[in-house]
Amino acid sequence: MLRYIIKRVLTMIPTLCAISVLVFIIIQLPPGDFLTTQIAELRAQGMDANNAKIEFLRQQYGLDRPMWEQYAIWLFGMLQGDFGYSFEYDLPVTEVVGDRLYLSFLLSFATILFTWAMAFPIGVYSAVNQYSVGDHALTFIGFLGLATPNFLLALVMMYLAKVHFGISIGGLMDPQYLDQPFSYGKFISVLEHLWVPVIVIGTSGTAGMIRRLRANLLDELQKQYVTTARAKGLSPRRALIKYPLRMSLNPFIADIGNLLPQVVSGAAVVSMVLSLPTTGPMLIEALRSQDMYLAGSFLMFLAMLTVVGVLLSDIALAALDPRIRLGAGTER
Amino acid sequence: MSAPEQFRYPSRAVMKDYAQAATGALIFGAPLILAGGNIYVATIFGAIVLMFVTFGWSTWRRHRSVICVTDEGIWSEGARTAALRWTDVRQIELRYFATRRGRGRSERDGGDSWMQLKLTGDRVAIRIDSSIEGFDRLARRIGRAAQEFDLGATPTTKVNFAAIGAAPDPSWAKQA
Repeated sequence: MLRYIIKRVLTMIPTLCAISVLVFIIIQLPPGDFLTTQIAELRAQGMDANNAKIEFLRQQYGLDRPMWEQYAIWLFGMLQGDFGYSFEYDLPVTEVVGDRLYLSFLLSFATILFTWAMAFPIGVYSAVNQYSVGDHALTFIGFLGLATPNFLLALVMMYLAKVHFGISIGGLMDPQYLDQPFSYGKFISVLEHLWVPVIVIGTSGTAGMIRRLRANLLDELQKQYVTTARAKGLSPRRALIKYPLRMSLNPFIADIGNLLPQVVSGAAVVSMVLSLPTTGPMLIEALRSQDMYLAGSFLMFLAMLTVVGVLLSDIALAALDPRIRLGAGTER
Repeated sequence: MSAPEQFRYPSRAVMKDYAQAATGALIFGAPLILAGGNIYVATIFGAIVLMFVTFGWSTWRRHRSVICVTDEGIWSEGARTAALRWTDVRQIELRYFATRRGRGRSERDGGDSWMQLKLTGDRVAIRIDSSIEGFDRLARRIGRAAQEFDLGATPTTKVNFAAIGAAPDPSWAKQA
């Protein structure tokens, strides 16, 4: 397994290099830079922009240097844990991101747990009891989850949380804990607020995963080896868990790679609706204002999550199903 | 006792692994030196470098190993020393790995897939990679021993034995 991990990690290097180049090109693509955007905003407000000062700032931020040089500085900085300087906040990116990154991680992790905890038993139940009343009811709820836009569900959940549970609207904690050091009270407050965004962000993912697991498990349950196992007297539970369930988990695990960035980027719109202090709204604002190092760091972070997610899912798949893929033309 | 048949790892097979271990250690080691006092970067890159160093060490041990097989048992000589009588083997595992989905060619053919054979006893385990010289012959021999001594093997292992043509007979591979 170590050899497998080594080979996969090595293939990650060119992938991440290519992504970093693309990310840098994309954030440089819009005409102008952060300063020209700022100047345009000042002029729109009827204020004058000092040309000498603009030139000084352009030199100060390195915006006058060639693109490849800016890329090299950014890349080598990242490798040393220095993600650059945010023009808009006038602070290093690491300081700007601060707590938002931890809260984003917490929210993403809780959402993934929620998605799996809900999708797994429902998917298995729906497949084993195909066309039963329960299956139809859960399928209906699943479709409802898929069809409901996240921002709409967010508004409904905010209303329900306020009216029925008395939770303050928006945010991930009560207002008195904002910008306060970490404490037990703050932790409890975060937990009290967390379930609303978790349900909102996780619902569509849960519904999709239920559909996939149900379909995969149904495919497996209809195979001859399951019929043989049942005919030989294997208990229904064992005939389900021993192989069909394991095999149907493959696409479930392969999905980890997509799940991580989806959760982070999908949470952006919901975070704006719910006023969550996570990274999503900050990313959107950084892209809008061409705050290149802040936006670039976020995009690289998302790309890294995707690559690491794919790596984790590949390792899990290799451990779970080490069969020769005859269909792909095996080694012999 | 029959004369042991010996199997070795050819140099060209392990050279690629040495090169990968060195490349990885260098690429991930450079930021470690540049990182200075950043504890997070140092921890992440340090762990990855350690993984590549461990892989290099494991490759060296594999390179120095010789697998010997007789009708009585199997053992490994050199850097990895372990011995198992066929009667002491509790479990055989033949696992398949491929770094790219849909690529079926083996390493020997310039592809990205390989296999690992693991024989487990009470306290001993012998691991053999498919890059060893004469892996097909070795796998057939272990397959025959598995049937003769009724050794434990997972259904996946039996399917893999059958897929590479190393199953002693079709009925053995079908016994799930």
